[in-house]
Amino acid sequence: MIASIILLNSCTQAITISADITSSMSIMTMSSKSIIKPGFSESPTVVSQYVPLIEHTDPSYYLETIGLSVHGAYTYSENILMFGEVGAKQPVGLTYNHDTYLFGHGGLLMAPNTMPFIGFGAAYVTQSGAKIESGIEFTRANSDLSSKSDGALFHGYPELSQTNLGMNMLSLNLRTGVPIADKFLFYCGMQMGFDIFETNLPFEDGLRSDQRSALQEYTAGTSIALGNLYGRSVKFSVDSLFLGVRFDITNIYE
Amino acid sequence: MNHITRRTISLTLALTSTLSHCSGLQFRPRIGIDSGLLNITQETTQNLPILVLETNQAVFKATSDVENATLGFVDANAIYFPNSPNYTAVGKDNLDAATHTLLFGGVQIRYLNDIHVPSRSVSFAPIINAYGIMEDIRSNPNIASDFYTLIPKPHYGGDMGIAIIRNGDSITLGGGAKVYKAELATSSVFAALAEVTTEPVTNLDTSAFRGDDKTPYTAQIDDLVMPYAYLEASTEVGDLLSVFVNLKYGIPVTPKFTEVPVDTQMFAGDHIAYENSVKWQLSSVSFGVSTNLDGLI
Repeated sequence: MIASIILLNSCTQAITISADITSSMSIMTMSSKSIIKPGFSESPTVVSQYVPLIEHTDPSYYLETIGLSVHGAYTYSENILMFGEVGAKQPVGLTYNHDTYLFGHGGLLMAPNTMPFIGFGAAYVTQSGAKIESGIEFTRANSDLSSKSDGALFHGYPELSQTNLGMNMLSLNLRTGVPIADKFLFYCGMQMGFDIFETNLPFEDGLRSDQRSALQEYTAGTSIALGNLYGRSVKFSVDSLFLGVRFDITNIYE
Repeated sequence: MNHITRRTISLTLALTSTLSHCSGLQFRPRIGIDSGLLNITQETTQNLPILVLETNQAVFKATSDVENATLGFVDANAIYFPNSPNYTAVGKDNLDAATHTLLFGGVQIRYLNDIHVPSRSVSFAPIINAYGIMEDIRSNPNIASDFYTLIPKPHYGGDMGIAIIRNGDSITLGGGAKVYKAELATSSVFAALAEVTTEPVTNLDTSAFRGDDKTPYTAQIDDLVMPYAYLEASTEVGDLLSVFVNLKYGIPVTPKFTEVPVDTQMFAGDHIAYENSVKWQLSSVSFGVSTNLDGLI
């Protein structure tokens, strides 16, 4: 026998607007390729002198953020909601105290700014008013990225930087939210990033592979840019765990 | 209908009754995906691997030996090839991270007093979880800018907590530990450093960077206890399934490597110093389903 169902959040409205506050722990990855060294060929008939070994270095760093967003949900059917959200995340130092991130084995420095995002998806509402949500989130970040001259790769190379580097990131979110009081929902979620969008780095044309290899000496006077070291285009992605609270701020009746 | 509240834990499973929710000891198998977020922080500077050369003139081999007389070489970065033991260190405050997504399966044991569903009342239940995490069959993350590849191995963990349950939804708080197993292997940077030669061309022993048969060096992480605090939100879907998202916030620990290759520069010659220079913090988020075995009886 199935127990009778009481909807704790009786929902007759078509659209609900809520405010979310989210705290997340993220790993930000810059999917990049560097020339580790000129490779060599055993074949005596190979014409090219250099066969550059281009390897993924994919440096990553850990980031904590606090985000605020507005969440709008449309009741599609009795158990299904479609939602959209828009907000921004601010990197904060919750367990450590610095506002720049040294990563890439000492070779890169990132100074992230506030990251706006939009997302949309669908939610399944259970008999108790809890929600299981799945959605896509698109985050845009503008950060300052620079290379260091005392890291493990490209040691001794000049320090190069790019301010206001635009990073576009796409990720899949999965969230479970349980109602904790009237109008409040507490949720836990995971975010899995995809490397899809490319970010172009400044690039100097005409450099040979032996002038921009990570394990060799820098030739003084060579005009070089960040893209020559880490790739003409790189991709950023973010993976997170997050928790938050959602508060119903407005109900709009049909 | 009167329900007798049991105060002692019984090993027999309670039967589902028509009006109240399952009570007593419950065994709930769980399965899902576990996305591990490994945060590596440096406490002190960390030495880079070196190969001491008498001549301090190392170059990367550009072509095969057949043509090397006429074609030029490229100067290798001297910090890796000093002419006396002189380590260059990567700065403190360097951050590194890796993510890996693995499958997990486990069982949750929960003890519930009689509760009625639907209900506005809140119940508390002690929870014990035990789980195993399976090997990742996709590509493994690299760390330290591709100095190393981290290969997670099947490992297990357990935790306990308190669930706050209302109307089939629950929020659980607790703590536990993963007994982490992984393998760290030297990656493309070590392989590249091993492909160096010296001028005048002689046989150079690069076994500090790579094995004779060109295979990478590996070190094991065996039974590294990585504690965490966790928070889980779950909700019942229908009568049989629960869906949950479980967040584990890791406590930083010092990694310990076993079976470290001898006389190599895998850890700049001193794996204890390498271990003490870093802290590993393994947090994770899992998304999965569990089912109530009682409901199937």
